[in-house]
Amino acid sequence: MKGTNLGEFEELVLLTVGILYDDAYSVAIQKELNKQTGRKVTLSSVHAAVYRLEEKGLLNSRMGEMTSERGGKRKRIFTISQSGKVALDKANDIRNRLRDQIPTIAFDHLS
Amino acid sequence: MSYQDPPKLPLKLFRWFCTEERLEELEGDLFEVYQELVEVKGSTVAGILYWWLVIRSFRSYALKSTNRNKSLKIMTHFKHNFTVAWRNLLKHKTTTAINLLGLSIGIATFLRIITIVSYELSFHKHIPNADRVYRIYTSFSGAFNGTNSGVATPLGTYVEEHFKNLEAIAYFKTWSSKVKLQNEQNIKEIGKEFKLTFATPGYFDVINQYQWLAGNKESLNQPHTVVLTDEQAYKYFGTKIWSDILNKELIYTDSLRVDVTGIVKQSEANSNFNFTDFISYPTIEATWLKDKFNQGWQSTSSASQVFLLLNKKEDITQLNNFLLEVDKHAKSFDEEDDGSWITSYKAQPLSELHFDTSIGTFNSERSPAHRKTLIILGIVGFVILLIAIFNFINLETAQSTMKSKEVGVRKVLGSAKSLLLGRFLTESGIITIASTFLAIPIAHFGLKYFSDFLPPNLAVDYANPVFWISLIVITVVVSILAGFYPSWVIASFKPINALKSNISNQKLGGVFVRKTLILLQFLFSQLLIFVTLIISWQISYMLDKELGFTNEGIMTMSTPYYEDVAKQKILLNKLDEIPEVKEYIVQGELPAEFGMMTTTINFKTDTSESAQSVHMKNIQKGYFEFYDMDFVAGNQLIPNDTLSHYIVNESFVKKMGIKDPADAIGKAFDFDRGPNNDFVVGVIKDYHFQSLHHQIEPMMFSFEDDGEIISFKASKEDIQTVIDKITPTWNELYPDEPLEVKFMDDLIRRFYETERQTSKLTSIATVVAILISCLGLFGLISFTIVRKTKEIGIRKVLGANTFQLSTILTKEFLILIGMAFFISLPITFFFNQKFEESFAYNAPIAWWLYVLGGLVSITIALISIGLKIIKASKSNPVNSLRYE
Repeated sequence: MKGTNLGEFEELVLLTVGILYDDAYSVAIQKELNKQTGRKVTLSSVHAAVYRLEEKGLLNSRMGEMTSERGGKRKRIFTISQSGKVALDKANDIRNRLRDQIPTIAFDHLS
Repeated sequence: MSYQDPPKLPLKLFRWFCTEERLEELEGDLFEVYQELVEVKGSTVAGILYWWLVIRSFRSYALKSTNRNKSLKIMTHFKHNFTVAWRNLLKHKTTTAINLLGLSIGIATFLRIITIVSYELSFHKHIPNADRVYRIYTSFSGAFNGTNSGVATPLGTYVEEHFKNLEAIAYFKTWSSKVKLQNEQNIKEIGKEFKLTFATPGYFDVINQYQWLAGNKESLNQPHTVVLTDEQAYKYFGTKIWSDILNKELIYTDSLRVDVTGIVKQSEANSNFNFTDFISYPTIEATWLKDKFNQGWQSTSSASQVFLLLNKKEDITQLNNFLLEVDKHAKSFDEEDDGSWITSYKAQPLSELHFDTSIGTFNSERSPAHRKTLIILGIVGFVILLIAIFNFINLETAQSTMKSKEVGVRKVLGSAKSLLLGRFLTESGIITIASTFLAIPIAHFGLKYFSDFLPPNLAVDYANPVFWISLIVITVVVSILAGFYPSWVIASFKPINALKSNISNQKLGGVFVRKTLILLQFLFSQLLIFVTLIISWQISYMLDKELGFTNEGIMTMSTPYYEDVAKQKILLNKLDEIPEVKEYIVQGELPAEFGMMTTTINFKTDTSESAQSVHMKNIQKGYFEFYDMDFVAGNQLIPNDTLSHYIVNESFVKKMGIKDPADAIGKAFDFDRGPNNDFVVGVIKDYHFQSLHHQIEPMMFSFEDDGEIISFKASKEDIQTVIDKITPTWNELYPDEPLEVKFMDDLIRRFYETERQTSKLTSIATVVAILISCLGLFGLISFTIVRKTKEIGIRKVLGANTFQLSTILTKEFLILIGMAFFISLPITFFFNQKFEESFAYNAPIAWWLYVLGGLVSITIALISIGLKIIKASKSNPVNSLRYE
């Protein structure tokens, strides 16, 4: 596996799974993403992302309870794994460190 | 809250492609989204969007990964099967080699034959509306029976004017001539061309196989124009810029000047219409050719061809009725008609053109394919392929006993029958594919053995996808045919039997089927041996039979009929000067040749009068001495009145109703000068002037001063000297005609061309069949020996000698070969009867020929297994028994 580097969309999905905690299943993730980012995210791309993240070991999953609103089908609930947390922290660290190193003067011409 | 079920069809689709693992969650997700969509947008739009959702889900995460796994599993199986098969093949090198060789020879022969047959069948298939194209030919009955591929010249225009249901008509004349090219300064000689024709524009409508590169067909309505095929134009002018060639001048036979007005490209498909130069039909009328070609209704020539394109297929009935009327019409025009024979015109479908040997194709073309020979060829090819397949089956099932342990272990370990089948089919598949590839070069180089049946330019068309497709089909069919049964037998072993090493494994593996197949193989081979023997027996009988005249050491040549007799005299003087020429004679007809002249005479006896059709030959004095023919009555002293005195043969006398030939001398008959003006002055012994297919028919010889054919006698060593000596004189006298000296006995041999071809064919087939069968036998005996090693050892210890052991080992095969021999006898009798029926004279087959046939097959079989058996019988029993 090619390290634990996260794609931008993957990072968003990973973060959203964290936000939703214990109720993170694909439809909910999609809605939350739509709400939080204002993007039109399709269900199938969410599916593709969560399964890929699970394969990378960044997400764990279990089957939820049966509910009638899903036609009697159980949902798969995702939670962040230890390496998922590490990956998120790492991505966050890198970003913050880089952001902090930008000298204020670099933005001067913008104002 | 109630929930709405999503539309069924997309759901079904989803369930179909979605992997089992994720189906529940994904379906649940889709359900949930659908409920929301129904609420927000209503069920119709939601339905459509649901479709969209399903389609969008067609992504790798949802797809059945089992698909991938399954194909991987198959690959692993295949790989495994392949490796095991490969090792197995290498382990049994002899069997593998025998299998490979036998199958590839079989497939090669089959391929070769398929190529030939499909080549012959492909003729004229490319011509559009071929089912509506007919040729009109002439059929004679009465004094002279026969057909002519051509018609009387006026027929073409007559049909065009009077027959209504025509879409197009082509009447043309075939021709050959010298061609010259008019350059700016000089005239360039091109040489003699044989595929010339005088054609109307209609030709290109009826025989629609051309593409116009330059010019148009209407130009053929003008005299002095010619259309060339692209190849011919290139040959004449050496350029492919067609516009440069237009309007250039060509000269045919010194004086016929025509302009090129068109270039066509002939389709590459097989066709008998291979004309190269289309001179416009009106040219005939406008030149001296008129006298040569435009004769009336009384003259039928194979150079005059008429082809029709009917409006619709059903019009053939009208055409036939119309042609009946034409006969009557033609009669009224023919002043010379004496009613002695009836000329009738008939229609021949285009599809028959390439096959009707009695009518023929065109003067310049190869004679038609012999459909019967093609059928025999097809059957033989199939039989040989069958023998090869049987061989393969035999060897495989025989080998099966060796594989019983493998099968037992595999089965115990849980291998299903289908998997085992796959395992053994892989093995047969590998061999078949390898043999097919081997077969291609064998077929390619084996071509020359069939060259007698082929036009010189036929080669395997490797660019043709049909060839490769049929190759693949053959491979698949053969590997299934050859592989399935043995694989089935092997895969059906009961593991307990297979693993019990002490049980006699003879019981395994379809012994009965194997025996039947060997029997069939030898039956086929035996039949082919018999057929070959019988045909060559008859041919040698025909060639060796005393025909009643001498033909050995006699050479013949024909001087052109249109040349002056004086020129012939010069040539004869030259012959006088050559000491190697022992004797020569000039005559109108040779004692035996293909063509013949027939006429009608009236016999009048006291009580009756009868018209008879008789053959006639024009000869000169010395003819009978030259050819060593015997007189039974009278003599050949030149009669005073040569016009009315004739020599006849015995059959003629019999036809006259006279028993003793001596009584016939001086008897009168009515030939062409009225009653009692023609007399018999001599009777010769009957001799065979036709092939032995025919009875000897009445013949009369009339004395004429002139003749075109010169025969001379010279000893074998001197022939080339003689030819060398007369060639300069000949070329001086007849610059247009090449000198052709033929052997008389070659001419006789040509009578039996078909039989000779068939004989060659069956001998090739026999050799191939015997070869394959013996390969199989060799393989089988090897296995029998391996299986019986212990038995041989024990028997030897107990005192059996080599001879006894050999008998035990060969007995099984000898019984089968013997059975094949006896079954083949009645079939051979039947064949022989049919074959003899086609000859008026034949030699009864001697009984020893049958014995010979049987001995041949047994000998060959014994030779092929003998070495192995002797080796096995001599082996030291210690070696085979020491592990016990």
